[in-house]
Amino acid sequence: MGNNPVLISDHLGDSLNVTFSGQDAKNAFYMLINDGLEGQFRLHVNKDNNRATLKAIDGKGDVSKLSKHGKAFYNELQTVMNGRGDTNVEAVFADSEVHTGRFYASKFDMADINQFNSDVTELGGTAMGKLIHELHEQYSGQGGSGRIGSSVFKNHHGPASRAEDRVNMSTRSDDPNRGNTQHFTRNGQTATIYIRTKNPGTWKSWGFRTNRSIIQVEKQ
Amino acid sequence: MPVKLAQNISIIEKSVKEGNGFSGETYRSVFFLHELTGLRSNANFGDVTDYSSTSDFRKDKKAWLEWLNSNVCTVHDSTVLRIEKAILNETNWISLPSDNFSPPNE
Repeated sequence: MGNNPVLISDHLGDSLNVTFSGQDAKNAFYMLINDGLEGQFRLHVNKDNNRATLKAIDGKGDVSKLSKHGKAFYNELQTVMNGRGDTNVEAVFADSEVHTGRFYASKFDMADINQFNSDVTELGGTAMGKLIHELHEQYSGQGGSGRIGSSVFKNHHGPASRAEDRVNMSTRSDDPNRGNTQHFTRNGQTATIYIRTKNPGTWKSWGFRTNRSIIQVEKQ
Repeated sequence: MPVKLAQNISIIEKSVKEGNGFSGETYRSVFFLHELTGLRSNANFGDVTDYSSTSDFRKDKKAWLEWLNSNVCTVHDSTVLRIEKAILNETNWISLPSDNFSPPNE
């Protein structure tokens, strides 16, 4: 496509199909994607078949006008939207059974994703990076079939982290020894975050600690 | 082989008790048990992973131990070593901070 304006970006006709658990999930999904496309493109989800596409905004639609993070975000969305076959996902909001993403249920939680940094240029987990991670993981895991089937999480989490890296322009690693701890490194600097998924428990409630409906992201 | 299986269950059990979600070591133990037994864990896999409830872990533990009782004599140490090596290769996303990102050309 180069730098030429495009009207509708789904040239192969393959599909990312998105359903929403409610209006909050839908609004948050649209808002994050449209913010990331920096006024050049906007998201459209067909209400009849749930197919997601990117459309050029009148007089815009110029990839060359995107920032380097915006271009990477656009490219990663295009990979999922125009890649092979179907990828089916559900966006939920503040679901205590979904912590950012739930691989085998093909769900991601927009309330959780929005707990990460809204500024994609900041070092550390970012909302745009997390959304791309979740979409890419499903795209990779479903392999065009529209369902996870017998795919195994460990084979798709790594490639999704690399897609996240391309948007964040940093390198993510999951800590070998500490739970829910992720590192993001760029130019020799590292930001480390811990992601809290449980409500506090007491000694009486051990074993019954409840899930948070929205994760808490803590800088270490 | 029974020792390896017990060690990996113990790593997961410790993680569940601490309640801080999966570390890289916990992921590798779950993946090891999956590869060895063919039984997929009930953990809630995602950007971060944990068990939604301790009963989900207890179900996994029971299934793994039952598998061990039925298969204790059929798995060789070489199989265990092969699985461990493969998992290390497949989980290079588990590491201490590293800086090997190459930005795309402008």
